[in-house]
Amino acid sequence: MVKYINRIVGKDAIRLNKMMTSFIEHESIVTTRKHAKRVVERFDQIVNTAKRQGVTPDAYRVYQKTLNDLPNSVKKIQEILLPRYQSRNGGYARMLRLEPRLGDNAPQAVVEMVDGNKEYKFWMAARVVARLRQQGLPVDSKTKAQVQQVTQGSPERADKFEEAVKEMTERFYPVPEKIQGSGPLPKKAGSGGKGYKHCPPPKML
Amino acid sequence: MALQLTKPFVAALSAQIPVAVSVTLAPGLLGGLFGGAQHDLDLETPSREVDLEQHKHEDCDHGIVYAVPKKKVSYGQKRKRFLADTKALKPLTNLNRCPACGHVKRMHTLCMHCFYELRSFFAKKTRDAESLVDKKQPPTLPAHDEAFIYKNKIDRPHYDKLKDTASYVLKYPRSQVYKKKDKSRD
Ligand SMILES: [Zn+2]
Repeated sequence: MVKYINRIVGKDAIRLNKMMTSFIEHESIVTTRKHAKRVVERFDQIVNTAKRQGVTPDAYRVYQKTLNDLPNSVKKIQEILLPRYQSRNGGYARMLRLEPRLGDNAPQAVVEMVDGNKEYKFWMAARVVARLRQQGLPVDSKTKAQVQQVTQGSPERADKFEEAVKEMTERFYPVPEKIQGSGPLPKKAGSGGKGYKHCPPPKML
Repeated sequence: MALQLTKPFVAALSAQIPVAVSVTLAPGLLGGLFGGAQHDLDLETPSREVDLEQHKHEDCDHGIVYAVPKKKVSYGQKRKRFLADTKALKPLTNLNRCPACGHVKRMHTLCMHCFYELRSFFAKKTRDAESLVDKKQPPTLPAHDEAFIYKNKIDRPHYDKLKDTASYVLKYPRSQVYKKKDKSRD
């Protein structure tokens, strides 16, 4: 009989604590999808606890149960994460899917902090915008939506995004003529203007 | 081999003659049955006597009769089983194009190539940031101290192989690229 549902105990708890600690240290980790989901949930809980209780003894009891490397991780939560997530009420971490792992074919995912310094969604959007600008193409609706998601309409984030676009241009697309395999995106009828919603048949290329 | 050994037993059973057959229950018996080495049987050593007359009506076959397929599986049936439709590789239909590099990728996932590029980009950024911060240099040790402390750090010849990670670490193959159709050919 199942005594507790959704309670993480035993070796799972230990593994999750380790993953949470390295997630807080590095701001993005690659794991399998189930672990990634747990990390996302637990990160929300920890940040909310820190917001409510700070470093009171009660909060410290929570950190002791859920984190390793205590002084450093609590320091990072207090000094960096709390000011960063002051304006949010949840959804502090995000999970993006990856290809299955080589070897055991396990579905992988990357967990990243929203507004963190290793935000793949943000930099991917910046890279796409950089490519489109170098090629002189209009930004399509899907990329626009993604940019909107990562900047959240705030001017500070928009400035940061522009800097990221510049960096991406320097690193990946310095010469527009050398951009490989990325002509204008083919449009499929009925995709609602989303150029690359479906894999286009060869006649459209 | 197995048949040869079973013959006397079967004969004794069918003829209804009470025969006491002495069977060695040593490990050599089973080995002789299945391993194909008959000369390993040591029949001369004293062993437990098994009276077949006693055991006749019980569900005991002394490990002589085993379940085996009744017929040989035909070539066609075998091929049908191996090459069943459910075992074939299915074509991937959930593909689209990576907006950054233009190669094929799965839907709703990051392109692995671009992911690794971004990851190395982040790593370089962290390295650059760390290099700006002044680090405490470890104290320089006298030569004899250093030799004592780091005496286990020896470069062995097979370490070079291990350092060459490209030779043994699995890598994702690069996916195909969409190419523009050459219109002059049509
Ligand atoms: Zn890509």
